[in-house]
Amino acid sequence: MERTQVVVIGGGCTGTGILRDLALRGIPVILFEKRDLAYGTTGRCHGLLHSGARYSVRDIDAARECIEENAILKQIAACCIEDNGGMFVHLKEDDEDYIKQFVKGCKNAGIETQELSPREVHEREPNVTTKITRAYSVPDAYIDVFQLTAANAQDAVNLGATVKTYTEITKIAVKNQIVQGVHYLDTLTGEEGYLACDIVINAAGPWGALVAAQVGVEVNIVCNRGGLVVFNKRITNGAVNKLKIPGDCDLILPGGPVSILGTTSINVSDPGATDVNPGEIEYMLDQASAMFPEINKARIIRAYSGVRPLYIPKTTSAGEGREISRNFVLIDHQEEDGVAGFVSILGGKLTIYRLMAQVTTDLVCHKLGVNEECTTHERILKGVAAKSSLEEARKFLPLPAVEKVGHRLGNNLPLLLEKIKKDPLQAEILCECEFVTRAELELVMEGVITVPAHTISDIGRRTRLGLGTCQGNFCGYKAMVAVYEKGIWQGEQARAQLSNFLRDRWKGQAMVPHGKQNQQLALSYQLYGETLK
Amino acid sequence: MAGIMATAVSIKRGAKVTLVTNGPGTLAMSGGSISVQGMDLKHPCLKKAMGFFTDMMSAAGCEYKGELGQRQLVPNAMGSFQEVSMAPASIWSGRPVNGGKVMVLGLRGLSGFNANLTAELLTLSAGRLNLQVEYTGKIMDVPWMQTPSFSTLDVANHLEDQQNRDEFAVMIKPLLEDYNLLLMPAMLGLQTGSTEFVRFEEKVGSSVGELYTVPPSVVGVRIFQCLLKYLQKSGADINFGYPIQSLQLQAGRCTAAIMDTPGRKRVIKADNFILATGRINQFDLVLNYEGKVTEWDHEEEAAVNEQRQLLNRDKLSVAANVYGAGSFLEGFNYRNGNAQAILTGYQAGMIAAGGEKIEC
Amino acid sequence: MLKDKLNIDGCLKCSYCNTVCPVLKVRPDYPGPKKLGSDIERFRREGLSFGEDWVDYCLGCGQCSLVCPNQVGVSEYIAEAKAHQEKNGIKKIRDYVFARPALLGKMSTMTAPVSNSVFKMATALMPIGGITSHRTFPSYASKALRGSVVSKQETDQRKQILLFPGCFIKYNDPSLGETAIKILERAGYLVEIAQTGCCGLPAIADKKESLTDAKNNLLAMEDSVTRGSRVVTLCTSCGYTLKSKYTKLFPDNDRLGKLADMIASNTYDLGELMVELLEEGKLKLPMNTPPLKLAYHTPCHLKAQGIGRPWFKVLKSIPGLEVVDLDAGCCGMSGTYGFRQEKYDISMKIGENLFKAINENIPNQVVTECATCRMQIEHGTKFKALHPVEVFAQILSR
Repeated sequence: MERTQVVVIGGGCTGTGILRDLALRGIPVILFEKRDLAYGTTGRCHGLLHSGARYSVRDIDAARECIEENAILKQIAACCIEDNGGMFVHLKEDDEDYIKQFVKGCKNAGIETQELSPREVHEREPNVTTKITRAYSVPDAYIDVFQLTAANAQDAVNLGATVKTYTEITKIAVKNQIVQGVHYLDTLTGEEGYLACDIVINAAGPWGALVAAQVGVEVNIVCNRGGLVVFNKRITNGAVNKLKIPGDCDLILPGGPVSILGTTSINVSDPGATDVNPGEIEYMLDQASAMFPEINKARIIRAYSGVRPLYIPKTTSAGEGREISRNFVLIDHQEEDGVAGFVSILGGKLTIYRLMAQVTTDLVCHKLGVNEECTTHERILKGVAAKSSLEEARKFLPLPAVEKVGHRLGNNLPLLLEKIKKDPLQAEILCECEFVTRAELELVMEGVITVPAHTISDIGRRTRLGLGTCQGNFCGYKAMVAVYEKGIWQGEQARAQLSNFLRDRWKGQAMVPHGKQNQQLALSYQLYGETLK
Repeated sequence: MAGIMATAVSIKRGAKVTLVTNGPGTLAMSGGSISVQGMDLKHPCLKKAMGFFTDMMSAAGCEYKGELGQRQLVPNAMGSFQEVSMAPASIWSGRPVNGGKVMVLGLRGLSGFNANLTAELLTLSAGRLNLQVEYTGKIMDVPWMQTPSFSTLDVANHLEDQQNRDEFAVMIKPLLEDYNLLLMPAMLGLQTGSTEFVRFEEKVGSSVGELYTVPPSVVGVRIFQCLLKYLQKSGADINFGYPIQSLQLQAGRCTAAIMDTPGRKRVIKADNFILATGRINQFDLVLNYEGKVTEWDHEEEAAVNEQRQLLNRDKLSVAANVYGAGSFLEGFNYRNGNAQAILTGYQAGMIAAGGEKIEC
Repeated sequence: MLKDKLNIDGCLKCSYCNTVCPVLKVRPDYPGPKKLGSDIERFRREGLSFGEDWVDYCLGCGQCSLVCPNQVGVSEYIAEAKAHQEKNGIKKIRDYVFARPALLGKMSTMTAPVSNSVFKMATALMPIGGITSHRTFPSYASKALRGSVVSKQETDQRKQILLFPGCFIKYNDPSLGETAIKILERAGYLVEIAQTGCCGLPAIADKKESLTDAKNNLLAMEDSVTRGSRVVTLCTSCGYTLKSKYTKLFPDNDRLGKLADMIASNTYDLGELMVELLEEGKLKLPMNTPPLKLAYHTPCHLKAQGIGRPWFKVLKSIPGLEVVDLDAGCCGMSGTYGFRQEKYDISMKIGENLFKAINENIPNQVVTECATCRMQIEHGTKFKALHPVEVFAQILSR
């Protein structure tokens, strides 16, 4: 019988964070994810590495946690972070008293702020309205969630852990109120299996309640959907927040070549909700236009939603999304519900994922009697690319490809160069919007540097292929050909993969109600509507 | 396509035509095949429009094959077949023939095309359609590309030269002994006309069919550029790059179109105006009613009345002498977009150049 | 940013710009306008530097911007990138001089008899280095161009023209300017010569220099244009620059910005003026033209002005004259591009199509508005090339 010590359910940043922490402490662990890594909430969040300033008025503890983790992640996960900084901007119409509370809160939480003159604001952010009264810089940053999740998973795998993507937990076996193991189904091959274990960790985010229900335990999670829109280009150079009580669409953040605006806050019943409502984008643009007068003219390439798993303690009743705490909760179900070997980590946010993983792992270690200290706050997640590799890469790769691939692959860059040296064709740029080479695609399909990709969307999550202006219009096809040439997909399978990929991309674009992306979509239909029938 | 048709028809009817264009629209993005799926074949103008189109293409030197009543399958690089009535001669040549043995030829390093994949998929697609055709992929090494990977456009630039095309044919010929059709991605030059294509077929000693690829689609670009040259020779005044910015309207008629050229706006006066701005081109139009300005809402699909006059949102004609044609009109369907463009372009051209009545 | 007019958001990645790029046609390893222009532009905004050696190979012909279905300023993005790139060594010195044709011109007209013998052979410029030895430099003239000489009374009655001579006429071919003045006077205009320098286009990769050029020129033309003179150019590149570049250079300077707008809207290619006269029936066309066959080449920067092909129209309307439209694309010269050692081969290869078309047509005369196109044509074929106004004047004088 297959056996391991710990099973983690959920391949988001929390799940992979726990996986890595457990592996670092020498505990055998297997992670199950029913889709791909970062497919759920993690891959659909804003990507803001909070400075904590946003919570400085309402929740000083959360603010403190954020700034501490912010500093740690900038050290250990530099390869996934674009440290562009950020600012809070106060507009005339917003509450003036809030400014004082904000400055005080930040000071108390240990968040370094600096007042910016309107002129300084404009030098940094020419697209921000001129009608600003006050502004403060904060150490916000952008974090590439796909890279982060992949890096956590990969470091764990290197340490001996296992990741099973596209594998669903069909049943958690419980005997005498003690967890025995998990039944799983590989959704790609249809294979079923059973894995015995001591502890199951529920890190399934918005699906957490469904997972808990499998052991007959009720946890109260409100699925709170947040809509986001992605712009074709950078609107700002750093994060720009509204200096007021947190609300809808008060943050815009640059990530790579794009900018992301969000969010809304709407309670939904489906943890898998990814659509935005009709009219939601107009609402969002309208909200943002106070800060960015010309935002209506900028091209949106895609819109989508992520679901925040907001935890409500059993005693309180469900409130509106923004009022419920975004703090996390770790539940030992042995104490709470009398089910041994089952732990849930719920709620929380991206910025403090490492801390969530740490406390969860501490608890699990305690249960297993393992006496190992956490090291994730010190151990570098993934090394950056060596200067010499970057210089060598310039011999083979054009222009921004070096910068981009160097950032994505970090110290794995030499693997890519080896491929290109062996076969110059590997230097072919497949995705011209994000500069993804054939070599990089092969690396992620092979699963040498990341958990292997199985679909073109998976490739996109690992490389950014298809996430740019054309939304996979041209590169999706080329990626399909490349995977076929690699011998992984056969003809019909390849075509089906492309078809699925494009349909997914069309869906995200079709939600954009106006502007240029409609024409891009028209072009895509024109190209593939008939041929992929 | 609609704009080109309207220009050609108007010139044929003796009008002086100024064509203002900012690029090729969907025509150059695709293979240029014409399907009439979902169209009313009894439309009185359709046959005449198609006839005019066929004549125009052959006069321009980029011949089309097929006719309105036909339903033929042409293969594409995605490995499926499309039902079309007409297609550029080189695309048309690729039709599957029962019992045929077809070689799909690719080049090593050619980005976005794999001959084996296309052959594999075509074989499957053909099987599903109960066609007995065997497709075999073959990937060839060519010595003349300087970069390890290249696009069909790069190849087309190289094969623009007749000598290079001839050399290429000589390389292919020995591979083709057991085959009666050669299929390859469209890359035989951007200016290759019908005669040059026939010459290439003779040199390889077999029929040759082209498959259109992801943009830049060489075959689409070729047709577009061929037609522009033809129109220029026919006397059209062609203006690139600076689209019409506003229409000057007065007493129910349009008096001039304003082009947003550098320095000073250019005023083009005419008796009749045709709008055929397509679906993917940037186009911001202002209607100027004697100083009162309204923006044309291009998010919504435009409509025309029976006289092909362009209608505003209230379904009233914008002006007696402003007509609409092509894919920006309502009811567009990408399946028959080219046929619609030909039909509506023809109608608009006929009316604009010849007075009130359509003669078909 | 949002406020930019070059419209990077318009790009659909359709690659149509790549199909018209003259450099890409002969160099498949050139990344092409799509990559250098709109693809990389999105990343430039991240503040990353890319060591963009290739942008230097862009001709600046502007055809990519012209055919873009969505009016993306592809070539303008590349020009911006050129301005940001760092250069060193020999190329730096050479490009410094090439960005300042007026400097070269002034130096040599002062000592024309001497410098002509020197400049005739480009090898003499080799101390600067990086210049091809396959070409000869145009010779430099010693006489200065002078405007119409008329009485005070006439000055008030006749329509005023301010001729923007540009470097070529000013330093290399004043007689072309004289011819143009003659034709303009014949049509009833009074011509004043603008005391301007280089238009600034050659300095596109040297932002500071091009700003200085623009500013000096604007101020030098201010008076005459304010009084109602039209600015006329014979050089399509100067015309293109005056019309489309100056207006974007001074976003923060209201006075210069307005002046630039005014000058842009009052700038005419000589051909535009001629067509205007033709259409108003005021242009006296030569009669009894001998059976001449002219081959007309359209300069890229004429296309970029969006004014059609005025001289082609004028020449076509002269009875008895056969005018062939060469329609063979870019000549490959692009100002000083073809003089650069590393670009000479590209330049000549681009021109092949045009040379072939000319050789096949065997015209009596090639005509084209652009001076560097003419240099390239004379270098690549055995045919002589003239500005249309010179042919027009020749026919008149017969």
